[in-house]
Amino acid sequence: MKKRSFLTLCVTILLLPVILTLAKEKKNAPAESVAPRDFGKESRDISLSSIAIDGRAHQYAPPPVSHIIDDQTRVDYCLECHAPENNIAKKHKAIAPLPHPVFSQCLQCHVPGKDADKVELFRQNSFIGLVTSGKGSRAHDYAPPTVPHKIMMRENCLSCHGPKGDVDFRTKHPERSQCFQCHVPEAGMDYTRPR
Amino acid sequence: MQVDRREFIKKAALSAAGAVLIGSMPKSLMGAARGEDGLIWQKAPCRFCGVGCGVMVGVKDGRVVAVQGDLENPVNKGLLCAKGYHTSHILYGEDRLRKPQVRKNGKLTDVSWDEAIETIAKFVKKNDDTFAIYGSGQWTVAEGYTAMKFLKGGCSNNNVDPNARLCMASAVVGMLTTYGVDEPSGCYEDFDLCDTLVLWGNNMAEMHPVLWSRIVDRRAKGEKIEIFDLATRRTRTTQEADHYLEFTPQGDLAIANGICNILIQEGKYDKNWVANHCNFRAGKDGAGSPMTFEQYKEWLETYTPEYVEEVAGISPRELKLLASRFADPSKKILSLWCMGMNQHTRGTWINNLVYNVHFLSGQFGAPGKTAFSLTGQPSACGTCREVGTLAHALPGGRVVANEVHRQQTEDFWKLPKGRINPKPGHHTVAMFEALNKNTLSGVWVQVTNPAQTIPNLNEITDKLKNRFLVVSDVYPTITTDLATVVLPSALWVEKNGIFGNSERRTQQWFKMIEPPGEARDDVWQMLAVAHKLYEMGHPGMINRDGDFLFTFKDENGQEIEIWKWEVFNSPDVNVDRLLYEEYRPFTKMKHKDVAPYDVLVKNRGMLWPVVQDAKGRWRETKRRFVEGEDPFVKEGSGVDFYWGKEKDGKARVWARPYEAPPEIPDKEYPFWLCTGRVLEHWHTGTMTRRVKQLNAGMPNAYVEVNAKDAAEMNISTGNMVKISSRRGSINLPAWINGRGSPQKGLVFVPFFDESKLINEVTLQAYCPLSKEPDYKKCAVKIEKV
Repeated sequence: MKKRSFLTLCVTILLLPVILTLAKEKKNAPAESVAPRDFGKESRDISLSSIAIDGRAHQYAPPPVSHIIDDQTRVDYCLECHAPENNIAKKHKAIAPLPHPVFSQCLQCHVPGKDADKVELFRQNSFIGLVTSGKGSRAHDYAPPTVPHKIMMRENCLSCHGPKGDVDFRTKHPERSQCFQCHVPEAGMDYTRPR
Repeated sequence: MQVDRREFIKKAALSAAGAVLIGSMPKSLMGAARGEDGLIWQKAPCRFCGVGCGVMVGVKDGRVVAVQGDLENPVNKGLLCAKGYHTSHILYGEDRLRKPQVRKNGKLTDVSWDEAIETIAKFVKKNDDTFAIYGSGQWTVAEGYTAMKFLKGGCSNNNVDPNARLCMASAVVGMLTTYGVDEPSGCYEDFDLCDTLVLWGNNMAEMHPVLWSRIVDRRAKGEKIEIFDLATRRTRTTQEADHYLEFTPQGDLAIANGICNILIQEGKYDKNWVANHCNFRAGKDGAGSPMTFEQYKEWLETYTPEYVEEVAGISPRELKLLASRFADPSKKILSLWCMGMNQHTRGTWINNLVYNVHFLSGQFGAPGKTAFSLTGQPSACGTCREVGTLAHALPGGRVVANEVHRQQTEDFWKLPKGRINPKPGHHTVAMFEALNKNTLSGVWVQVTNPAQTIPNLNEITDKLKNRFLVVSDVYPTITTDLATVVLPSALWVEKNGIFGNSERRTQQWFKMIEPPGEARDDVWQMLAVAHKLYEMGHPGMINRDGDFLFTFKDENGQEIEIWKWEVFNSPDVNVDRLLYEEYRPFTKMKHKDVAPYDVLVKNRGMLWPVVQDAKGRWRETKRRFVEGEDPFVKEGSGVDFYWGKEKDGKARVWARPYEAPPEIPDKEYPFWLCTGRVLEHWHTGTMTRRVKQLNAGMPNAYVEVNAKDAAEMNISTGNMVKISSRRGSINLPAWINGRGSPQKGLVFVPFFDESKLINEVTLQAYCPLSKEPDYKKCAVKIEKV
């Protein structure tokens, strides 16, 4: 106990100038910085995005796999990185943890999709998929936005909205784990998933 | 300029959906699919495989915008596979056929429906005895039924056969010869209850994915299930298996006999079950001759573990391990198979032999204990097998060679006596051979793509372009390329329909959207030609009352003019219901009573036989031949094979020998070739390749080569390899340790890719009993190019 307290103290002292600077900045920040955040800005940087949110054909379709699949037959291969409790997933936050309970046959629904845009289309297709996402409504500027899409098999929000999720969709506070405490599913409660 | 985020996401999602059309698409359409306001969800079975998953289809502003798994459907309980989740796309390929076309001066030219219908009617009138219909296990019940009545009833011509001949004919003849009537005894619930699963050459993980999940996900719930994968190549299925038993192609015959031999030699067969439910039969044909149990036992003695090892390549230890499970009465064993056993020059025999194993061990006719034939196509059972769209058959398990069956059919159809021809027509391979020789003058192809799927294509489809070839389809295919007349068809939820899946489940759906352009239902196309023939005075299109062959009257006794598209397509007329209800009485003779249409509407399908109980409720049957479940079973029998050939309630155990396949690798052609499907694509890929996600997941065909063979020949993944047989050759990129890994000396090629036609290489040898070709075995050589 003593040792730990001592360490904390040392770290605090060492970091003191930084903490002070931060505090100072915050104190001196202009009033505008607490204005409502701008959700309309296009801040997308594809190189930062490792999650294939866009590969999805429609609101209810599973997204393709956005990276190379070294082993096309090993079905447990995916869970080595994507398991919700996996260490690799925790350490390298670039990896999306599974958004739904484990179904063992991942590749049954998620087709290989790396460089899908570069694969020549066999023929053109004019299907338009249902997209319910968009800006969720909010009661007022300081109220949390609602969840604008159906939950359907996406119960772990951090899978898409986590620190390395698509820039447009990232949460600013990944440390808070009880998402639905504040964000109400506007598209209706639908924890429907295969039985 | 700041782009509105909503607009941005919309664009991103649009490009993701495979419709990179932002420039060319009207603004109003772009926004059409946003949000769930005005979205209507309705049930339908999936368009693809024989599993028959329930799909909820979301329709908005007249377009399908999403699908999801149907939570209420007991088949899939909400889960779909990659194909299923993308079913919505298959409707919207930009090159959907929208206008009827007739070949003029060598070129397909847009024509009116009237002209197309008249062109066909004129040809059929002149050639009604040499015209054929080649259909499909993707035909709805009404489509298959209409084709049967049109050709067998209207033209006294039995040349109707479906692509299901290439797919499940061996399973059918296997059941007919074993217990006297087609279609399985068990149901999918047995998949939840078995504790041992034996897969006989079946890559379920890719071919029946949702059922595979239904089985292996039981492990996640803490249940134990032991899986034996008997196969000739390692697949995704192997990864979940406890035991991989790799056998030499055709060795399955010896393995099944080897198990039976061990059971009997060790006295571990189920003596009561055998005494109560089995007759023994010898012979290579369908009829055979009776034999005693002692004779059977003696006959089996050849199949020692050592002999089995010699011909099938599995060790005595492996064989004994598998046999020990069948010897253990506490086990609940489920055997499953599909094309591995059916596309087999001895397909009927291997089907018989797997039933033998289950009968001798008593692993049949109880929850979790059964031998279950999986089906490839969504209505191979419901249409091809139940309606009987086969060259020798009539609806409801009847056959043209049987005078009583012909008379019954003539009565149902109100035909003059003697109208139905007693001579069976051509089965699929013979049909295309006859077209080649011009003994058949023309063929109407619906819902299938034979120019890609018939074995040994060079030989068989060569002259097809010189025949009168009518093709009803939704996209241009390599078959429409050869056609004289191309008819644009309605697809899936663009029409009303009924499919029957692998487990005897009949599922109905309603039309949800209009087909594109001038595309129309296949049923209507045939009714229109029939009526045109009637107008031209073709005697076959008149029934014995002097009416049109397909006469339906409304409540006031007025004829419904269903051959007119505006009547057929009117919301007040449901021709699917009319035809289904006309067909339904046919199903009672063989105790395959299907549910009334209006009952199906309210259910997520029902397993036949469906009969009314004392309170008038319609009751489905989970397990056929089983007392307490099947209403037709004799009381006190336990298990009653009521259609058994000996009429004693018993099934047959057949002494079917091992026989070498007709073409075996030799010095010149040292490799086995096996062909098949992949998860992402349906059959010839005409629908699934138009889905961006599925196409990107599996863009082209490849050849799987065993890693050792590849090393010896200095072939690595991506190298082009030439595969040649005595019949043809193609070049393909190699894939080593990829999706599957074949045994040494075997290569695997999928058949979905129309630019790489592996069926130019395959052999057209078929099972002499079922006439189903063997796409799984022929001899090839491979060279790095």
